[in-house]
Amino acid sequence: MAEEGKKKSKFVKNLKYYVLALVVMLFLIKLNKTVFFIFLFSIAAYILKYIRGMFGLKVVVLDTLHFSAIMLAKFIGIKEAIIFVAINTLAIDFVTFIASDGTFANFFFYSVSTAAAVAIFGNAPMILYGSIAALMYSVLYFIYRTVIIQNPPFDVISKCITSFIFTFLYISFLGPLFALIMA
Amino acid sequence: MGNTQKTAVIAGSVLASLFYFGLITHLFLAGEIILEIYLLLVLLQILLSAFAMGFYIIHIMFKNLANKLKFHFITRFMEQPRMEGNYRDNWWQLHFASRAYGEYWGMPRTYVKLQFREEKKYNGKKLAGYSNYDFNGRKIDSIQHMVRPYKNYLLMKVKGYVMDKKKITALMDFLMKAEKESRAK
Repeated sequence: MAEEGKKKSKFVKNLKYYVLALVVMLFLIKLNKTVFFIFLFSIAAYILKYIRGMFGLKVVVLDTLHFSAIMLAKFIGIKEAIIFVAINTLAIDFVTFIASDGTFANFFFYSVSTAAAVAIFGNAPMILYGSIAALMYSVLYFIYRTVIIQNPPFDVISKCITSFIFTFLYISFLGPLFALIMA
Repeated sequence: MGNTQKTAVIAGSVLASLFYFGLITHLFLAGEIILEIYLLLVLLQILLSAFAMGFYIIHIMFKNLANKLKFHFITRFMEQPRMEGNYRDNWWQLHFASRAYGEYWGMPRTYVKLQFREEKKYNGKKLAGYSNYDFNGRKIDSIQHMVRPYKNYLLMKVKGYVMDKKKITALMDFLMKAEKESRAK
């Protein structure tokens, strides 16, 4: 009974933060579209990464970071996309004391792949520049984790493949909806 | 779960999935929902189906391990897998945990338990010597002596899930050796 009471109060405590986040987001829609989308995508990336972490998965499952960066780069601006990537890689890793060389590498790879794909192929269909961005990130990550820092090949390849697959899935199925909302 | 029940659950899941897909496609073709929403609903189905299938495949892998070891699988689908049985005249339990009690999720561990009904005493210092131990490239977090009302056991926490029969039997052999060396005199 005491444990159930504890669980309930923790839920009620968290519920207040969720409601607050929702209210903040509703204000942001009216005030500033850019900040709203950066806020929305950051929350989504954090929640889905947390769910992934629950299962102890090292592969990139559910992570929407790259998809979000591509959407921001295309419909808001490349500068805003880089800011979003910086918040979700550099800032979050430093705040949670898990920053490493991989943090900077991730920031660089996500930014470069997103910016290059959107800048060069931005006028092509979304699925094309989205896939190119995803492929570019996977290739850069593979080179970094095999040539520069040698990690177990199976781990690196599985992360590259799942990262590409999930970004491609999100671009294919969620891309049109966000294009409608953000355009 | 009996075979009939298992078949019924699988068939029910497939039918539910087909029904859902049929419903959203019907709504899209009838113009009730736009293409973008349809794609979102399809993605939702893909992700949920993939997760359910992933869980099921992992569940089958653990059941296969139990069959190979001739252990009895004592948990249900979606519960943390546990199996019990005899190996080299000892009573064992294997528990595949995704977090330590009271800790955060996302820490896959294989708990190898060498169990006894009679009371045993061990040298704590010798057991502590197995903390952060490297065994054939696999990290053993610790070996602890746990006492329960109806049994006591040596609990060896191994990093990751060990699903290979040879590797798990090697770990059990190692734990038996550690048990002999750590007995209190």
